[in-house]
Amino acid sequence: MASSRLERIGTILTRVEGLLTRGAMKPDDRPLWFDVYRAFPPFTEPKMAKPKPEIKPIRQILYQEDIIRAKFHSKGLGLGTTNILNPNSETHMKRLISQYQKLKSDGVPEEELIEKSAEIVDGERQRQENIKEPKYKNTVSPESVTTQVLAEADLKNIFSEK
Amino acid sequence: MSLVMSFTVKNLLPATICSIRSNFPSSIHKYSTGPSKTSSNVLDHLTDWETLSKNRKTSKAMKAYLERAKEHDEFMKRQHLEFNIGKRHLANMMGEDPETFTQKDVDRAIEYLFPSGIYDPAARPLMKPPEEVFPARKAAEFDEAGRPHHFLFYTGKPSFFKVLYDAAEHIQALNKFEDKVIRKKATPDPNGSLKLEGSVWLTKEQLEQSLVESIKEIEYENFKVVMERLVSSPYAYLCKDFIEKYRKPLAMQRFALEIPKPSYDEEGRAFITTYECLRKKARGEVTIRYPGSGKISINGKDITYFEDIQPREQVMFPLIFSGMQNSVDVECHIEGGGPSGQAGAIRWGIAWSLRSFVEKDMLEKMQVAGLLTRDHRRRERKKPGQPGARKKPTWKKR
Amino acid sequence: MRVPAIYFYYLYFLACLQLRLGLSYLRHYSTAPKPLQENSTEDVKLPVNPLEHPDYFQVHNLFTVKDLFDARVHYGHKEGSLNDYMRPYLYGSRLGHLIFDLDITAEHLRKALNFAAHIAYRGGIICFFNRNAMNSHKVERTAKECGEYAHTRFWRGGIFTNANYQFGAVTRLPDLCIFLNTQNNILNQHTAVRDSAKMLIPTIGIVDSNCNPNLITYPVPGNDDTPVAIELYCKLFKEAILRGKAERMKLLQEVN
Repeated sequence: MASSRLERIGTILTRVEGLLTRGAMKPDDRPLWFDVYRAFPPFTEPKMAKPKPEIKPIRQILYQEDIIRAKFHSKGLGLGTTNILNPNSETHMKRLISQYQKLKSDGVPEEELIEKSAEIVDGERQRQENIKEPKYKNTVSPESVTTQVLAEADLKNIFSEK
Repeated sequence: MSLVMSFTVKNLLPATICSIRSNFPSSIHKYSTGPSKTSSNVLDHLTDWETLSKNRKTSKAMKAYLERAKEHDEFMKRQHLEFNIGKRHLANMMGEDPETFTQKDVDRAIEYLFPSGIYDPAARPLMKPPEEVFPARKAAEFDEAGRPHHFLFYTGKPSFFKVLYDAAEHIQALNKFEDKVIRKKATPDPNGSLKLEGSVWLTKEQLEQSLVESIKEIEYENFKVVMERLVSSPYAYLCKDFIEKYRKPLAMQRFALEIPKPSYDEEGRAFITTYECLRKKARGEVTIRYPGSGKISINGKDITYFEDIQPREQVMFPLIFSGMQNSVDVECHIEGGGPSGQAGAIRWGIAWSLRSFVEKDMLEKMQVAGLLTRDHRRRERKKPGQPGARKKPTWKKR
Repeated sequence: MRVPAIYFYYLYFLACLQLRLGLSYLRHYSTAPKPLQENSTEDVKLPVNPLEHPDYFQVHNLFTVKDLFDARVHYGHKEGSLNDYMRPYLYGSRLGHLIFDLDITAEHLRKALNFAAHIAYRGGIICFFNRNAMNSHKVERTAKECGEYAHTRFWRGGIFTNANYQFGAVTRLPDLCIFLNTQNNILNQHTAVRDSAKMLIPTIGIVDSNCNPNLITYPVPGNDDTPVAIELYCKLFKEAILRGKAERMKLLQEVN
């Protein structure tokens, strides 16, 4: 197939068009994508040499809560683990902020807000973990290796020499 | 204004050229000006893709392939014809029946008619059916529309990368399985295990041969890394079939030769005779008798047959190495060569005969020490124009 | 010498005439008034030219902006590595990390999906590219599942530009290259991007904030590293291609 390999000049469409109009490529031999491209051209021409877009300062994305976030982080309280496999899971910081706002609306004084909300969130988390733990214990199947070993072991005298 | 200008220039130029070279075929000029007139029309009046696709069936790639296939078939046909005629000629020359002349007869006839002293058999004259002589042609890797069959075709090494792809697929499946087992708190199957001690991964050459693709060193390393990762899974036995395709059993060909049982002489002593003990130009045979007292006789003399210390040490070495110097008698006849060659031949003969009288451990040690290996080296011939095999006359530039 | 030239002209004229007539007939046949077709002829479907339908394969319903957000498509790299040509696609910067404008991404992605579906409909060869080891198996599997091709390995120079020699035969090159990651490593662009442009092959590429979108025919600004995002792209392209192929099967059955 006749073609021009100068990818720096024009676009693939203009190069094929040039070949077609000059007769170097037969209209019936045109590439398969040619009609599709003409029907649905891209938003911008895929030209190698394009003028750089106007350089505007990038918009900074900031929120009202960032002030509260900064307060938590300055005390080293903002970090916690998050389950990213669960799309509905809340981050530690999100809980802290909602707790903070709740306490603030309740009229708790400004100085105690941070500590109090951190305490409450930590307490909640520990409670949740306590609820979860016994669940796991019950699900251990009686046939598993661990249970068998545990049943046979004499735990009290495990360190005593025979 | 500029538009008009360019138009006139365009139209004028061909005319002037035409007038200058009037004997030139005019169609070419017409052709060169033609498209510029209809330039906008070409793009506006393209045939519909649907209509085109009805007419077009085979791709260029397939057409080229079919052409080459046809060429190749014709070529092979011609070669076949020539081979058959040649075979008949050969049969007539040998005075045999051309109808019942087999390939074996052909080989024999060629060897008789064209005796060759060339060392490499591949370089000797031969006459084989064309299928064996000309390399087989690759089958088409794409269909009629030119679409390749293999989904990794464009990587250039589809079979090799397919192996890596499959391995990755297996690793993911095993990981999923492991997760499931852990979640269910089930016990792992105690019977399932993978025994890999007796085998190794295919070497690069073997892998290349089995895939019919050449691979690079780094790609082979990647292959090994991926396979090791697959094997490291505790449930690797689930894809045993896949793994074993790329493993080869370790060669257990040590001592493949049967160790001979000793025979007994009239005194009731066990003895073994090894014939054809050779090194350099020396040829001889060695007999070992057990039990004995460490007596050595070489061509009727004792160890002093050799005047130097080096050959004596050579002869004693296998006996001392195996600790049998006082419990066997050695008797040998040796001729040809010099002292070192004779000593080497006797050394090998003694070691070879001792196999029947030592433990298996010792046998392996002897193997490792190189006692059971033959030394096939021979004297290298002298080259013309120089004093020795390798030695060159002294040469000074100025 | 003159006679053949005239003869040639005559033939050319005839061919033109036929071409034009045939074409006008076809055009007339295919461009039936659209509203009439969509409203009144539900049961008796007139054959539409897929190119005249704005979204023949219904790719717009494949995803929502929320899906993109959930798949973390909006995350770019840090500000320092920004390529200036990516500026129009940005929404802003969150504490130094660039965030893509997902509305723009969605538009670009729909266009790219539509193009891919059309190429699949026309029986084109589609090749997937990705040089990120973490995602390459996923990409290869996608290619396998939709009956297309993948190249996620080291790119030997000249696979496109010197194909007939490298493959040892006349080889049909892909008709569309989909790059799920246009970089070879963090510094260099994938050579196939340039080679596709050289060989007149259109490309679709997921371009992150540190990539250069200029040579990509249909750039889709978005995160090209996160497995979740790659999984989403793979799913979308697979579905679009399968839709295109299903339509193709229908067409082939009608013809035969």
